[in-house]
Amino acid sequence: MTGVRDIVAPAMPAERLAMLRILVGAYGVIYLFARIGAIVGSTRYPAAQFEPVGLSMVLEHPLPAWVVIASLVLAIVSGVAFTLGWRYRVMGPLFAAVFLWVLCYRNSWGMPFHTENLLVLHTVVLASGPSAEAWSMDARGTALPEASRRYGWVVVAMCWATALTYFVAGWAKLSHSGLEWVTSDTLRNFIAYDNIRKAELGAGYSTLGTWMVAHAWVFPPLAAVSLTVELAAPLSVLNRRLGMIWCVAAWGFHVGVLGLMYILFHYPILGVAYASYFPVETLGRRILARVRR
Amino acid sequence: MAREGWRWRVNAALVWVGLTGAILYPTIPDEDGFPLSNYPMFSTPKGTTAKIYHVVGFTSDGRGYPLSPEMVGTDEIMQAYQTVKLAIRGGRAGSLCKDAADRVASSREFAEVTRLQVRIDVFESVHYWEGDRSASKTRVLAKCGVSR
Repeated sequence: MTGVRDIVAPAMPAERLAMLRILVGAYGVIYLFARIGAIVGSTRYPAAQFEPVGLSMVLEHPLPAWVVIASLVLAIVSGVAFTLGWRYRVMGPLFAAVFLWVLCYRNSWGMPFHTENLLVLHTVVLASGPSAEAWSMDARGTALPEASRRYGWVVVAMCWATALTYFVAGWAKLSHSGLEWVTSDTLRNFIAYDNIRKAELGAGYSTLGTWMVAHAWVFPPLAAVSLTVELAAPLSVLNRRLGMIWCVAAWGFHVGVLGLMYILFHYPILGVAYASYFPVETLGRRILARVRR
Repeated sequence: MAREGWRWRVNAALVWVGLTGAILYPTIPDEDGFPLSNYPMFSTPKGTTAKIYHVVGFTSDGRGYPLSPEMVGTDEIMQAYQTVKLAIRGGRAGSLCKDAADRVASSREFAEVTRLQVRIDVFESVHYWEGDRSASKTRVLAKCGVSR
C-alpha cells in the first residue's frame, strides 16, 4: 500500500528534476524576452494607475524606469544561470526572487495576469530544492546521483502547486456562485461578454465562442466539466496514471478556453505547466544521446 | 534513507506547508493578487449586460471604430481595458483621450480618424452576437480631436 511518504516524496531520478529546471528556466527566460515591451512599457503608465500587488506592495510609488530595466536584466541573466545550473545555490533563489519581483511589478498596473501565476510558483519550488545535481554546470565532471526522495519531493511539490491553483479557481466559482455556476447561463454570459470586450477594444475575438452563444444548451455541460477538472485537481498527485489523465483533461480545458474566449494560457497550453507529472528525463536523455552520436 | 540526512526533509516540509498555505490563503480574505490569487475572474454570477470601457475613434463622416490596445499605450488587450477603466474611474479620461489622440495622429491604421471619445457603452451581450450591436446605454466621459 502506498504511504503518504511515497506520495509526497517518492524516489525520483535527479535528471527529472534537472529537466524540469531546464524547461521552466528556459521558459521563464524566453517569456521575459517576449514581455520586454510590456514590462518596459509599464514605466510610461501614469503613476495614478499604480496598484501594487505581491512584492510590489512594499512600494508607495512606481519605480524609476532604470530600476525596472535593471531588474529585468538581472532576471534574464540569473534566469540563464538557473537554466544552466550555474552556481545554483545562489543563482536559483536569486532568479526566483527577481523573477517574482519583476512579474509582481508588471502586474501592478490594474491588471493581474493570472497566466503567470503558476510559472512563478514553479520557479520558486525549483529554486528551493536540489535541482542542479544533474545536467548542470555545477554537476560537470561528477557521476549522476542515484534516484532519491530528495529529488522526488520537489517534483511532487510542483504537481501540488499546479493542482492547488486549479482547485482554488474551482472553489472560487462554488463560493461565489454555488452550483448555479453550472446550471445557469453564467458561462454563456461570460463568453458573450468577454468576446464583446475584445471586439469593442479593437482586438480579435473567438468566432466559435460567439457562434455558440446562440446555443444555450451547450454551456451547462461545459461548465460542469470545467468545474469538475478544477475541483478534482488535488487527486492528480495521488498516483501517476491519475495525474496524467488529469493533465490531459486540464489541457483540454485550456484548449476550450482558447477556442471559446481567445484567452491563451500559454504555460499550460505548451505543456510546461504539466511537465512535472511526466517522466521528462526521457526527453533529456534522447536529446543527449542524439548530441553525443 | 538515514544517510540522506534530515535537512532535506525539514526543507521539504517547510516548502510543502508554506506552498499549501500560500496558495490557499487568498480564499480566506477572498482577494485577488499576484502570484497568489483567489482566481475571481469568471467566478461571480454574470448577467446578460456587458459594460464596456473603451476609446472609440470617429471619422469625419461619423463612422466609429474601437481603437486598438496600442493606441491606449499597451499591446495587451486586458491591460488596455483596465487602463481605460482606471482612467475613467480616476477622473483621467481627458488626459487618456489626449494621449490616445497623439498616438492616433501618427498611426496609419487610424489615418481617417479625426476625433475620439472615451466612453462607457452597455450592450445586451447575447443580442450583440445575434446581430444587434447597438449600445443600450452610452456615457461619454471625454472627447478630443486628432491633430495631424
